[in-house]
Amino acid sequence: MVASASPSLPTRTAAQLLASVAQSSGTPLSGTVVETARLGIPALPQAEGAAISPTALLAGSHTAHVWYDGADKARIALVGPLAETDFVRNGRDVWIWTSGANTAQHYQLPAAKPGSAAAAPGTAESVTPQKAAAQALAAVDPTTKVTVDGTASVAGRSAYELVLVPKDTRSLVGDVRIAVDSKTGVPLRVRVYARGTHTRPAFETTFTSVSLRKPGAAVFRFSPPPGAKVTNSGTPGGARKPDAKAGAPDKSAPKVIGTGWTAVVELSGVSLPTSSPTGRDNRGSASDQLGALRKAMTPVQGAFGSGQVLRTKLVSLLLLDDGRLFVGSVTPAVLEQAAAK
Amino acid sequence: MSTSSPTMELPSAVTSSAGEPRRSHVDLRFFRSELRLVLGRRRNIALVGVLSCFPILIGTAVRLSPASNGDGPPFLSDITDNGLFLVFASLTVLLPFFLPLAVSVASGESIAGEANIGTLRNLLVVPVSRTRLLLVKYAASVVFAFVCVATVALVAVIVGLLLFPHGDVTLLSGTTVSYPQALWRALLVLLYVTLMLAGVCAVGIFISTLTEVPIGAMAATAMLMIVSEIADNIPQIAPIHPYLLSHPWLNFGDLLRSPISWHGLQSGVLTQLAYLAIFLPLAWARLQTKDITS
Repeated sequence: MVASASPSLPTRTAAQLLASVAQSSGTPLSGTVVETARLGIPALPQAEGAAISPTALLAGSHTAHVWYDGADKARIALVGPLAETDFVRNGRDVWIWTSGANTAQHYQLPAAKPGSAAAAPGTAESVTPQKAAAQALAAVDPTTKVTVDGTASVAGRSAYELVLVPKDTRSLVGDVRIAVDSKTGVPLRVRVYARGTHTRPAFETTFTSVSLRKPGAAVFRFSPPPGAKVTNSGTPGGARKPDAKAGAPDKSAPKVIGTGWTAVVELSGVSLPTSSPTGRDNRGSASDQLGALRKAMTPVQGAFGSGQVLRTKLVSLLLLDDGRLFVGSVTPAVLEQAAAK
Repeated sequence: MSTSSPTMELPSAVTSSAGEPRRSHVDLRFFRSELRLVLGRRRNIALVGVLSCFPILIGTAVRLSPASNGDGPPFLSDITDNGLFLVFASLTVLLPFFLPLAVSVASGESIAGEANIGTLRNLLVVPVSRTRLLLVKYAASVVFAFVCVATVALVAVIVGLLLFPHGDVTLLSGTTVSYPQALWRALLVLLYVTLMLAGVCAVGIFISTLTEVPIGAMAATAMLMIVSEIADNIPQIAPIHPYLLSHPWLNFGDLLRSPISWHGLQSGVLTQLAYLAIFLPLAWARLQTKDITS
């Protein structure tokens, strides 16, 4: 699907578009989303035909079916050839169903914060253009240049192209282009270009088909099928994924250093397994994936101590030997500065 | 599209000569005799027999030592929950190799086999045009593909009923449907898989017009299928993947979602139709200009 002829639409200012995007949250819709990441990291090992984990979204192209109805009803189905991982939110109940493993995880969201879409566990929602647009727009502040740059046709609908450009050159993000539906303000496509490249987005999520009709209520109803392994957890933040045993981040709360596009997140108590466990049983497990990531890292030394650094097109990662991990959409130098403080 | 379909030529055939029996009748008789030939051939019966052993083999193996969740090929661990998954597990196991192989054998044989034993000339002496010959041969190999898939599915359903529970069926999306409803979906899967093999038949019959050595046509067709599947597994050439014949085969999984996701199925059907639209006319053109000497 290449760029098609741009439709002619009445002129809109960037502020008008930002307002229409903000108003569009909660618009009922259903559709198919294709997410493509070209971050330049190796594809993380995934078990074939089994669960599609959110970490798989970091490399390659993936398809998801999405259904939305208001802020508290959502369903995202990550589909593989003969597998499916469903994230179903209906009111306070959140279910994560994994077809290959035949497991259903149940979470109960706190009642106090209705409509907090960010509460859904996992990163599954970040595959949708709406979520990706919301994350990009959250960074809009004086450090961002916002413009409207022409129109586009996405999933058969005409859209405005909203362009966000970080002014800070230490950010790895060159620009973020959001295709905003001309009628409803729903973000239909988000493309993130790495600094200095304008040909191929490093990250892209786009509706390939979309319907703005209210989805049927049955879509959001989930009850674990008989024979499935059901785990009940309280709130999503409280419990870590049960398979995150060795080498995964512990419960220490992440700390955010800086603001806007150059914000850096610091985690502590992180360690990677020195060698990735081999064998079929471990394929696709958390430690297997971290082991694969480690192979792509290069050692560094400096005022901050010594550690490993990984630079992708959009995200840099600095892991120190003392277990602190710095992540940000910035050059490794910024991470090293943050670590030295 | 220049392939003249039998119905289009019907009026002229009826009026052509009074004594000659109606063409459509001839076609039907020709198709029936061709079907008897394809389905009665000992080699093809053996192929169907071998194919039908797989569900029995998989079913017995899973019954004796149940697979733990997520182990082995997709659907294998689901069989212990519901016998109907034996259908999907069997088709998943057979689709990459054995089913295309069986269909390659039948379609590769079709024209080259007749040319090889010298009966192609005789066939054309009776009032059968080369176009009709091709269409009837093609239809017969598609029916053979259906018989292969249906036999596997039927044996799998029966073995599943005998060895495993047959209550509600859990779909890929985690929703459950009743056994009869799931049986309908299995029927749709069966038709989809047959349609996927119709593309193999088209390629096979084209290759069959190129040679008088049937075994060569069979091997070449089977090899092309394997090449297509290998190419489908090389991520560096991802842009060509959607155009590969074997790429949409496993999309039958989309019939096991709730709601059914038609998009992948639709593109699968379109891919096969594109292959039909390319290889059937090619086979027709080749057959029209072919010197039939034996």
